[in-house]
Amino acid sequence: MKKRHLLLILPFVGLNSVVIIAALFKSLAVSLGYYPIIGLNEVTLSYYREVLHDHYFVQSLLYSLYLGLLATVGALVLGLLMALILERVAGRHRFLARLFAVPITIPHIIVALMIMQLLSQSGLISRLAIHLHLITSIDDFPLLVNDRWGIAIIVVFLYKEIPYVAVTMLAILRQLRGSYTTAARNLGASRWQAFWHVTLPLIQPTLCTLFIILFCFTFANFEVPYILGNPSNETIALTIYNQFLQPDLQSRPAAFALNTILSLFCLAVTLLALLLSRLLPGGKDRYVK
Amino acid sequence: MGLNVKNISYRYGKREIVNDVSFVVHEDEIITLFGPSGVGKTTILKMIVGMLTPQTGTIEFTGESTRKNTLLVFQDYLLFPHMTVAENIAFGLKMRHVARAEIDQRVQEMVAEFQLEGLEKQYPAELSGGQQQRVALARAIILRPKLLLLDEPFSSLDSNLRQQMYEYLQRLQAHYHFGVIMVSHDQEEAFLLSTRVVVLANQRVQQVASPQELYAHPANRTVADFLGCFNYLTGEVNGQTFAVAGSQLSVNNPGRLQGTATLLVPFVTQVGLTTQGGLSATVQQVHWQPAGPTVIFDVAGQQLKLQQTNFSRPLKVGEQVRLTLPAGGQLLPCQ
Repeated sequence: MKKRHLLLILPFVGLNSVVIIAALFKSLAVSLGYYPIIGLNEVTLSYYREVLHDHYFVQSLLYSLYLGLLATVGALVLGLLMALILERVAGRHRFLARLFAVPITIPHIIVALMIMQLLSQSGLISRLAIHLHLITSIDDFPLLVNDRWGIAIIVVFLYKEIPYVAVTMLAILRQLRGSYTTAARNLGASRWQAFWHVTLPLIQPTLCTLFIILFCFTFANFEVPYILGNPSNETIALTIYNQFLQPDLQSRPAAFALNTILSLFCLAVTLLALLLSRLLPGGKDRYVK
Repeated sequence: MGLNVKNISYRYGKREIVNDVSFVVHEDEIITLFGPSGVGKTTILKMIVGMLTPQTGTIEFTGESTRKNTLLVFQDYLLFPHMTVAENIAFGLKMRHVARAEIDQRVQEMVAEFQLEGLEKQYPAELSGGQQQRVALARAIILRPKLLLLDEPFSSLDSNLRQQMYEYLQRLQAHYHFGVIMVSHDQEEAFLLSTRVVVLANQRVQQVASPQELYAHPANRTVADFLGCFNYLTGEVNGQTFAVAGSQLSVNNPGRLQGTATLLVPFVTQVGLTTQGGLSATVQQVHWQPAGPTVIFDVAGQQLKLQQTNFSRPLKVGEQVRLTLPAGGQLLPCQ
């Protein structure tokens, strides 16, 4: 590599070294018990053991996994379905595709507040139901916000991520429609066969990338569960945040251990998704020139 | 088996793509849709296979031909990039739920027929243009089509490969007995392969004729211009006699033109020298060519270019000669 090329990538390397690698290193060091500021100088795995054996932490990890997987898989399936529908109708109604992209521009925190106004027991839908004599009091309205299943949280994620998936996939589907899908149909494939044997393998690497982006985002999301979550069912991001808020600095190493576990978990899911994508039809590099 | 295309039209928004196009394809014919880019040739193929629906007119399949056994081979082949050569060839049979053993046997036949041995497990991106072309043809022909539509099939191949593919196509057609509708804007290709040529210009059919007929008698100036291999000599016509540069030539005048008209003289035509009568001309330029010199004459201020000439003696620039043109030349109204 020429010196000039090295200079060109220097800002990227510098930023990553300082912000990410240094922060990760600090996080790793503290999680391993090296925190001289409070007199901890011995490297130990005891904070990881503590965290992984703590029922509360494990529960928050599993709860985050549940929210992340459900929201991500739901967004991918429904987003792809929307893209397929839009691809069929948006040729005639182009504004539909643009309209569908609007939620992408609204910040998550605003959507969370909107959903709270809409779905809470004292929210708009509940009041409308009373007005229409469908229920007699707000207590009759099901608990959808701050509930133990995180319904409102999942609704926010789906509202935000379905259009993101749909808009991304729509561009690819349009390209395929004019080419490989048409070729498959011409060779006698039914609509379903063309989708299963041609479209799906060709879009699965993109779906995999979207899965990684969305899963890492929803799994580690803070503000949405903070506003709409159930206090007895914390996500891992909230648990870490609460640990950091403790005035006792002795709780920091455990918080950093959780931080590292969260990062490693995202990394592991990313690698697993990439491996799976590679093993599935359409995942090999050989077919790309 | 064949196809009857009757008065089909297609518009995209306000833009007219195809207007009132009709032609017939008979058994085992190779028909070329020939015309400049943007004239609607590919749109016609898409309408035939049902990818587009004509807004007016009808497309009737006759005899054994049906839409199902009519297959389109795309210009850029569109081999499925995530499938191997063998998987690509087998695709259509697999979609028809043909038994595995039969698929394997027929794929092997195609691999041998198209000289693709050793490439079965390769992906399309690992193949040359010619190999991709053969896989695309094999993928269609394994389904035993009655009508094969080829969208500029040889446009991305170099001239050597093209010649090979022409022979391939002719051999395959003779062996498997299918009609071909081919899109091309390459005149040599259209003339070499076609039984008949459908000349399209200005979104309409200008002429349907055999290559020989097309060359000898282009229907109008648009066809002649597109073929691009004619001299236009302007003169006065009276019955079957055409007067130009003080000479009287015998012509074909089925349109019974009178007065000023244009005589088409192909660049490549049998022209001799004479001492009496004939067309008076002055040699302007002589260019040596392997198939015979190209000579440019001046005929009373009009240019006459003749290629692959075979005169009885070498001509010199500035020389006055008298040329004998074949009788029965084609006349067109003067523009």
